[in-house]
Amino acid sequence: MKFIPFALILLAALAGGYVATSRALRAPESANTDQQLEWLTREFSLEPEAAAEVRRIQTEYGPICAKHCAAIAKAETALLAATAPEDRVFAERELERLRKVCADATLAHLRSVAARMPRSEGERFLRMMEPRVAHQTGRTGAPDLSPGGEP
Amino acid sequence: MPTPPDPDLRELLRRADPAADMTTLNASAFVDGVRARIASHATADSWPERVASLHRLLLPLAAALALLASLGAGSAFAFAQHKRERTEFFADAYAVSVDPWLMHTSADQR
Repeated sequence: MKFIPFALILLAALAGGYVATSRALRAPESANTDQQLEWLTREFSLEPEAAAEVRRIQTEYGPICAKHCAAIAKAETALLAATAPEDRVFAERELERLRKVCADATLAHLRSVAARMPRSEGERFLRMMEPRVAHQTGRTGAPDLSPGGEP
Repeated sequence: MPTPPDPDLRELLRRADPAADMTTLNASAFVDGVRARIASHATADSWPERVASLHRLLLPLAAALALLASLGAGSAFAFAQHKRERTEFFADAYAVSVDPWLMHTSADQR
């Protein structure tokens, strides 16, 4: 019984350490391309040459990704505008084709980035990223990224 | 036990213990006697006494270390949680920047 006050003091110290550190460490509010590349470099232990290579790959892939994004927007607009059943079927097929093209391009890009990392880090990178960009056939929109959500 | 020469002290001792040895002893001999008894007691320290004494010395140290360990554990837990959240945040942001579907959805939400 005489140890209960001390145990409470220890618990208070535990909570105090947690709260003080949580307040001192600020959560990131935004992540632009530079911050993302900096994160990739640190999180996956990239050598400076590999980091420069990843930056180059990323810069090359940016316009491709933007082009695919614009094509998706266009296809979705066409699908919404389609009134005739045959137009609707055509728009849905086009959207499905784009989905596959985008998924393939994204996965190829991620594998290319992973190839510049140390082997184990590259595998970890793919394990982290692939579920985030995995799109199943027959579903529109983004994967559910919520905890426990269907990828 | 021989007693000190102080008459008041002698009287007090006599009242407290009528059977005591009331042989007068000079002050320096009394002091020497006390020191000798202290010295003999110190050398004859038993193990339980030593352990108790060590315990008294180490308990505050252990308490301070436990307090520091608790602070450190709380801090480490917060740090690990922050790192995990930061990794998730950047992984999501990176996924949006490389996946046209996510980019498109994200643009729609804005």
